[in-house]
Amino acid sequence: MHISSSPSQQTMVSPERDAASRVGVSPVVLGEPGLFLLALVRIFFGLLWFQQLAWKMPPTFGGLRSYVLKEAAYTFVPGYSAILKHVFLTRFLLLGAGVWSAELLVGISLLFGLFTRLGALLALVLSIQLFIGLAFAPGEWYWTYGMLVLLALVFVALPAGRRLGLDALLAPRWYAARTRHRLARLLAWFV
Amino acid sequence: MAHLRRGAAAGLLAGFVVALLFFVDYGPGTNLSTIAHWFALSGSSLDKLVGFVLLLAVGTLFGLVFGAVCGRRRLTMSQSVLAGLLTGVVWWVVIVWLLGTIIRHGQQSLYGVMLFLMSSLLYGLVLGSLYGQWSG
Repeated sequence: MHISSSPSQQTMVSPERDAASRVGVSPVVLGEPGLFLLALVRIFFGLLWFQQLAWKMPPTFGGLRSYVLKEAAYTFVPGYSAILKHVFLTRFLLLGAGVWSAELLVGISLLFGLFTRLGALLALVLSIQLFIGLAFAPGEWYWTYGMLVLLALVFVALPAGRRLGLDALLAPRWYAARTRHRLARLLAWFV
Repeated sequence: MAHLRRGAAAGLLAGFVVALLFFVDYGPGTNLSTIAHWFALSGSSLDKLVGFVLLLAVGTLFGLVFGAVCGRRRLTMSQSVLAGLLTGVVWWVVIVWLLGTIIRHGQQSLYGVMLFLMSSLLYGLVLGSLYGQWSG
């Protein structure tokens, strides 16, 4: 997918364009209005994660416990309940700190468009975990967590932080350096 | 004049984004009432609408100042975004800390502090990004 109107970024994706022209299909181009809309959706998806920090704040992470218990009771994956009960619930503060920090990172990443795909990847892992634990619990609509997974996948696939995001500043630098440094190649994928 | 118009338009849109974010909560729009309260314009059934309009107005005003300050220089995209983030910090100091906390004695939970800091920086990011893009 070609998403940029700036000359520097057109150069970045030219191999994709060449590949597309070789197989006889034109590359998919997303115009500026589409890019801004995508960035706006990214910001709201980030807010979704950020807001969920409110009911599981440190130092007790209290609101989280009832959900973990619910997951342990209604997960559809065999053995997952035992892991939750005997590993995570026995070290609840550690679990709470981990979940809270991960959701904070996802929120910051998506709200500010900073290493957006990395944030989306983390959101994907968290969403899959929620789907496994809660999708078929009483009172839950399984598509709630299914949609979370799908939305996270969209932002793993698309570089949504390059408009209204800090990735707009990082992407050209990492792309320029990706042929010289392995780390830059990895980081270039995350923006 | 073009840079002032650009700044005002970018500020208006950035304020609109923040106003939309503040609408989406369990209220809905509880934080919009908070904004109205900070400006001593709360107390009616229109609190949330007042807060929404205030964010657009203050956003435009900050954008206008941003355009006036940055308009004299030719900023790169990076400089524009960084200047925008700095404006977001100024927004937080003036609106959240000075007006909301010191003058209006607002008490914020830890989450409230995080939310208003995040929204202030997001205002600046959107402002700087739009201004930089439109200047390019």
